[in-house]
Amino acid sequence: MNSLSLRLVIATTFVFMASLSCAFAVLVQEAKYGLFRVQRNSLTVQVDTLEDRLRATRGPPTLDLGEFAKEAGKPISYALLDPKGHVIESHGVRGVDVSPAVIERYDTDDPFGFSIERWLDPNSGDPVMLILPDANGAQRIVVTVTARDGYLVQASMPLIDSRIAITDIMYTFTEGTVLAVLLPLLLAMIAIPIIVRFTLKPIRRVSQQATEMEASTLDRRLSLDHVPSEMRGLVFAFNDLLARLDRAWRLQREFTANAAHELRTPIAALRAEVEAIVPAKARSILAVQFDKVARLLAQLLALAEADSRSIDAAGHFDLVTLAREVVADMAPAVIAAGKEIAIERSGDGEATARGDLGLAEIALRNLIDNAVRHSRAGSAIRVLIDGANISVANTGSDIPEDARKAMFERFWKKDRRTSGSGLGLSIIDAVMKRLGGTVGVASGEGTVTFTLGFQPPVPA
Amino acid sequence: MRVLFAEDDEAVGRATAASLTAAGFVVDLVENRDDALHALKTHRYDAAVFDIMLADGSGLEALAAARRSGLDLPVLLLTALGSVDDRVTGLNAGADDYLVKPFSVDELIARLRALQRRLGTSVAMALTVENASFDPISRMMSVNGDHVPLSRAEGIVIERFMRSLGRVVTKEQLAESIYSFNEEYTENAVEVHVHRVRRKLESSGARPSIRTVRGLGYIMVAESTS
Repeated sequence: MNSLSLRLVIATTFVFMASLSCAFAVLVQEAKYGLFRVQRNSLTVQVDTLEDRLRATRGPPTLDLGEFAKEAGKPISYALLDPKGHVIESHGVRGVDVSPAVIERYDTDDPFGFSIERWLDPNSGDPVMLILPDANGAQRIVVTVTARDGYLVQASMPLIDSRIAITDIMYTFTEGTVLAVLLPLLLAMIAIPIIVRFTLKPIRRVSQQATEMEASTLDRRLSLDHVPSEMRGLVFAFNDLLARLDRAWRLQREFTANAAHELRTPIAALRAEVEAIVPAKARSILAVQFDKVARLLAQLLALAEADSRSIDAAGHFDLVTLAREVVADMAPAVIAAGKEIAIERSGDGEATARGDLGLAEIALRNLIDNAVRHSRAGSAIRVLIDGANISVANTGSDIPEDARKAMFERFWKKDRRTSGSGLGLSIIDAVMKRLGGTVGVASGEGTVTFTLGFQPPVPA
Repeated sequence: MRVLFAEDDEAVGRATAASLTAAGFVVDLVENRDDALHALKTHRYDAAVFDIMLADGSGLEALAAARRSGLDLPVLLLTALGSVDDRVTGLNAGADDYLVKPFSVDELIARLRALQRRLGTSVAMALTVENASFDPISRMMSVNGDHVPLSRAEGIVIERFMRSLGRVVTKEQLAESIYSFNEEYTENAVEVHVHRVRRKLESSGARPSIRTVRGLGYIMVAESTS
């Protein structure tokens, strides 16, 4: 029941069936009263004719049936009543006495399911209509009208059983409309899923946008273009939520940045004080711990910067220049750590990338730093530039498949005992996401290679 | 070596100054920008260390102002910020080097000495790295006091390396030092000069060595680690 298409199909079917039932009920009611009206009208017309003929005669009143004589009793019967309402002459089924008392009785009740229409006014000469049970228990419709000298002319016939007529009408109606009703219904069933798909296209686009959102892209908003007005509320609400999340996230980042920054000065003071009182030779032992703290603070700040730095998204930079500057800056530390570092180029083509140079520098620095920490002593770290990609390869053991994704999480460590913070790769991951680029890892034959895939420049 | 140290954190300033003094530096410690600018005008220093944030204003502004008025001594910036942009801003304002807090006093001493070698006003002073020294005037190198003969180009190479101890020197930078700009040269020729200098250092038993950063250049390290 969670499919919109299914719900619509069910709802449509229900509406179809309901309107069909209503139409049917109206039709049945119309048929019932329609039949009744036809009978009453034909009786009224005949009674009026007989009344006119009676008025045209002199002497003792008698019924001149004329052309009706042959039909008397099949099904219409005729009668003449004296001024007191007693039948004095009948043709076909015996007439019905219409005394004021009878009229009074039938006027108030509705024993036959029909309201008794009463035009009667013995003085005005309007016809009186009654529905009465006849001798066989069937119902008769009786129309009586005042003619000459208080004499009454009457015509009656059995009331056609509307149930039989209705069954007949129903049958004809169903036969005629089944195609006219079921075909549109069938078409609706087919059309609804297609219409739903088509109508929800903008929603799918919005969901796609939402899927692509990351903590680092909280400044983006869902596009309202082509979103149906019924769905705008949802998109607005989502964007509003994003704005609140963005603010909360920013505060969180700022807190990290401020905390790391505020810690730097007191730790610098502590380090300066300690280093001033210990002998120069003992400093190197302390340096390991102090450097670890310094590095962690730098990484926390880099992580905050990667997430919140206002970036020059339209900028372009040369990967060779970037690699040369970063390697030149880091080479002393790499060599001091007992390792080598080299820059290699693959191909002579352009090595330009699009995005923020500062972020790219953070990514490359952290990647080289990672390589220094995880490669064997005396081994070489290779920085390879290939198109809009920079790879950093170092010696190292194979990385299992399941660790390849997890290693970019914050505070991930291959081994709990290792001294690193587990932040380096997550910084790279955050940076590359903000740059719209990728970071991948490959390993084998004693080499681990991380590749930063920057966005190639837009062709001019 | 006389150093002006502008630092507004009392503990960092006092303790660092004490360590520098113990290492043989003469240190003048000031706490604000105005005192720093005043000291620079009235005394002669070999180097200056500026905290980027001083009590009465940015150390960067003070540095930029001093540079505009002709200050040419080596300046090292101390920063608690350390983002990519802050570093670039610092270097653009005229700093020669920077250190991020919390720094090690040994690192500060090494950086100050490197600055002195690279940019020091006393160009005539002999350059010494461990057991090797080079006299920029006589263009002579000695290792453990023994004279090591050098060609003109080799002398330029060793001077360049000693002045940039612990820092990468690119092949382009070496070529610019060796050849005048209308002289034709090949990368290979630069490599040959470096190779010869390296062999002479090794054969003479010098402790500093020249390491290759393939694809970029070379770096001289004081003590051979491999």
